[in-house]
Amino acid sequence: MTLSRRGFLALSGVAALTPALAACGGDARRTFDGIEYWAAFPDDAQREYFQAERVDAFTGSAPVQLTIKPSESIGRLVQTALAAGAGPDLISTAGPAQVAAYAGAGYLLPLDEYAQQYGWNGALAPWALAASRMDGKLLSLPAGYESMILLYNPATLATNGWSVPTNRAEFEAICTEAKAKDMIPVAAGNGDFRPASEWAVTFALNHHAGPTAVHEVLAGRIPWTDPVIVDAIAQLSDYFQRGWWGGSVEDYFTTGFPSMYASLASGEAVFMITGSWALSELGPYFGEEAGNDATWDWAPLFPLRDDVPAQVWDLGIGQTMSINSKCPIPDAAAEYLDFLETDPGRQAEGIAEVGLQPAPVRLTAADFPDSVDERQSRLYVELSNAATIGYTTWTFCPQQTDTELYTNFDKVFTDLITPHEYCAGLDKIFRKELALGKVPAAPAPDGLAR
Amino acid sequence: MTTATLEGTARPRSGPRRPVTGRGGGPVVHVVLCLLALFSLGPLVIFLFSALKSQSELATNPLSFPAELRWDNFATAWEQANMAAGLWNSLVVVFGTVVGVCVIAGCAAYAMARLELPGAGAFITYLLVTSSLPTQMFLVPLFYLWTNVNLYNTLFGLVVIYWGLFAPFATLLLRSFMLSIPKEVEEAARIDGAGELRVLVQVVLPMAAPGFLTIALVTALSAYNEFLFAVTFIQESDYLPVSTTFFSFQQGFSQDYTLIGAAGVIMVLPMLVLFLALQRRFIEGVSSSGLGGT
Amino acid sequence: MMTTTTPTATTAARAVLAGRPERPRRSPVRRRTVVAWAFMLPLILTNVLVVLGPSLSALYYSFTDWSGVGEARWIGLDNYVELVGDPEFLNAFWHNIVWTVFFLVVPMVMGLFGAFALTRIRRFRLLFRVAFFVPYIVASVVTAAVWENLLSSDVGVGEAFGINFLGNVDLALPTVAFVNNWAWWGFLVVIFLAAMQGVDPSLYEAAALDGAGPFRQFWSVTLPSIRPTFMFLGLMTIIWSFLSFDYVYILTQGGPAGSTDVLSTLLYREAFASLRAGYASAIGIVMGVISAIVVAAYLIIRKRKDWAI
Repeated sequence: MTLSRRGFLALSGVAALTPALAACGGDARRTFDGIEYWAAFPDDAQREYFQAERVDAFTGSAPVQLTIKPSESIGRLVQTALAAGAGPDLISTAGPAQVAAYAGAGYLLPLDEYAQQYGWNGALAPWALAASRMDGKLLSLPAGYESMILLYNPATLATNGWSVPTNRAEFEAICTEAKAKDMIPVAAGNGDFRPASEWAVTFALNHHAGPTAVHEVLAGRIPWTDPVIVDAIAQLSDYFQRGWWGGSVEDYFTTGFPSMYASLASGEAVFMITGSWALSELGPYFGEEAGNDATWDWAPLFPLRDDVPAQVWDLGIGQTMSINSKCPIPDAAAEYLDFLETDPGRQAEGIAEVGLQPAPVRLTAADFPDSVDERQSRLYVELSNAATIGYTTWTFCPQQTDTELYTNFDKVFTDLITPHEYCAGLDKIFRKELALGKVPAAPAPDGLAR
Repeated sequence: MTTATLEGTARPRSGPRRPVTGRGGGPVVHVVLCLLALFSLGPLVIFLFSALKSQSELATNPLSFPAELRWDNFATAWEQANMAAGLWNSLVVVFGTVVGVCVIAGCAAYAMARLELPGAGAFITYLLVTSSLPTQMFLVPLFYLWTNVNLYNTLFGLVVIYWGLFAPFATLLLRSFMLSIPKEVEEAARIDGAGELRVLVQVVLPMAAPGFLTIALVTALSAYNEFLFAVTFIQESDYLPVSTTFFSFQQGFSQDYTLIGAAGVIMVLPMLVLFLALQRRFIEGVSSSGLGGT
Repeated sequence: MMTTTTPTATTAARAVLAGRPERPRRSPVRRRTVVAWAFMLPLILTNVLVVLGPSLSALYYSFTDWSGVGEARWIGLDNYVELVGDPEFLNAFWHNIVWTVFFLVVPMVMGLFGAFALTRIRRFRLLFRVAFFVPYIVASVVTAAVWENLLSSDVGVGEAFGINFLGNVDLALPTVAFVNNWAWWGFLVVIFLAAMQGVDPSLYEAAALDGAGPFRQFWSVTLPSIRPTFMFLGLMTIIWSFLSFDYVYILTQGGPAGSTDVLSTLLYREAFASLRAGYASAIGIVMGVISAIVVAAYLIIRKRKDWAI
């Protein structure tokens, strides 16, 4: 068969294109002899700092290759890669619930021997290590930790004659006044990030029901439908319906983070109940960068009920690191983990320079360079000395329970389901996951595993 | 009537279609049509305006013409949203997808329209049903397969997925187009002893060119705008096509409508230009390849 | 309403209903058949690789409790049983039905009206056609951004009305549907216009002589004449309504409080947030079955009523 010139050109065009396209892409097979690490960073500054100080500066037995992924898809990319038998050497997840899933599938290397070798059991905070253990084995290292805090603008409080609340009565008084003045009592919204509702739930559970009750629920000894839990949810829902969170129920659903920080800076909002990660996000909205003279500060969260201790730090693990069970050079990977996590000075410097979330090592004021923002160092020093801890839902609840928790809370304060129905639904799912061994081990509120 | 309409498109002459007697609808009709046009184009114009404003101006004057034209928004968005890499990747992906789909659909449509493929009817039904499946469903199994054949994280791998997703419709569209092409010339070529491939390439292709143009444009549009598979199957940020870079950008800069506007305009521009240049062909192709009439 | 991953299925399915293989010619059939299948090979190959294979895998996983990670344990029909009683599933399914009704009515009426109006004017027809079609070529991510800005309660129309459209539990779903419609109806205008342009003008003249005004002419001449196109688009609207994903995902992600959740966003959430890939696959299979039922119903009705397309 003879081909016309036209046909030939067309076919050869396709033939030539194919290898060209293939060459455009990369090769999924390992061609790199070092430690492959996928990470996502909230901004360029952190990314560059990490590249310089944590990747290029590592002089261990193997080089590290850092591949940047978008923050909103890194979880899924790692998950699908692992499901396909590939994936990086160092596996980073957003918390112990995901680690449990990966461990159950055999993707992770147990780290106990390395922990012995490098002394991790002493260097890292006991509560974090306890949450990282599954079936007695250490399957991940807590690489970043966080706490819930109260953010506020001191000038806003001063102008209105308020002071930082330390109990429920003070909080409610300020909120009521603020709402009357058409301000937003608590800047909040899940417009940018659906799961943000669980920050409020975490606050209510730990500071209304109390850490002891939450601990009992997570251990399966009391049900989610216990009155102390249901009351906490009901109270929070009431606050939402009064328009204290986000200004109104509707605005809550469409408010995004830039809007929240901006309203805090402008004095339109009084508080923000969020996590310590916010400290590295709100810079651009305050002061010179933003073209205003607003300042911010943080305070610990307060109890909403008399039985709850005065200072409870709702702690969570923001990031975990594990070694892929298929990694050909686990020793080098463990060496890198040690480099990343254990040195207090390095952690402190990361906080000071770019607000990099630290691993849970004990930090003192002396560890920080002089250039550090006092508010950051104060937070982490206090956290290092936390006496009573609370439980963030994204760290201590299993995956499906957590998803239901934040998805369905929206239905509580929009009156689509009652607090009791909400808790009953959570209980049903939680029991199932508990039976399947998917619940991370929660240490007792006084910080030690039991 | 049907034949008249179909033949009208199959014949090489591209004259205007049989004129429809406009009843001379009064001013009311024109007014309503103008309102509808405003409805369609207005939001895009406002979007363009917001791309040219500063954020503070946008806050005070959301709907008006910009007081000063901030062209630097485009430069900022270009950089921040990594538009250069995005557009290049999109170009590669679109080109590869269009060429592949034209070849695949061309061959298959010819087989079904002309070569008396046994079971063609059943196959057509199969294509229709499988293209009604939700694509999210086979995301993970497909990913597993792709990694095993080393097509993961390659633009080529994404292109092959698009071939699989878009070729069925292109095939069916081309097939009905080819069905309406008169057979005499082909038969003559066959009698002269030409092989099937030669008949396809030398005789059918030129006559089916409008159909090919249509599927090329439609496929290009789909490939360019697609984002779910792109963001799942391409890992390296350097290889992300523009639909995903825009999406990430919008997620990250959710409140800065001026920059989002600029990035959005940059993304839409290539397709818009292509469409406006070829719109007559495009629309006529879409609507005439077997749809018009009873 | 349909995502741009399913281009012009109109002509596609029209073809389903059109062709039957012709009578065999005198030339050797077997050689032709072999060649025909050879020509089909690329399509078959890509289809099996990308669509059929993974779909069958998904069918298998729907009978397991696979989390997307690790092993898949066979659990039979448990997922399907759970689906039937799952309030989130029923909620999403209901929203798909509402969405379907919306799209069977609003864009169709607008498309018919727009096309008919265009047939009745002499000048500017092409200009209007282009104007109406432009939104269709804008990517869904950009359209969503356009409307998010417009509807925002800070700087847009939302502020003027004092309503937060996308944050309101009752208004969110119609709002998302409205945005999708904005991008979709122009496509229908183009299709309907082409169909209407094939109508025999003498029918209109006859109607006019009988004293029929424009509306009457539309009802008794235009609509019946374009019935095949119209029914066909109705079919595809139903199918695509159950698959709609883009706009809900980008604008509200199923919120607020699940009031815009549809089957595809539920599937996505179950697969990637709740880590229940098996359950998500079951949802996907249900969606596929619904499409298959609708297509089958359509083909049966068409055969019964002996409609030609």
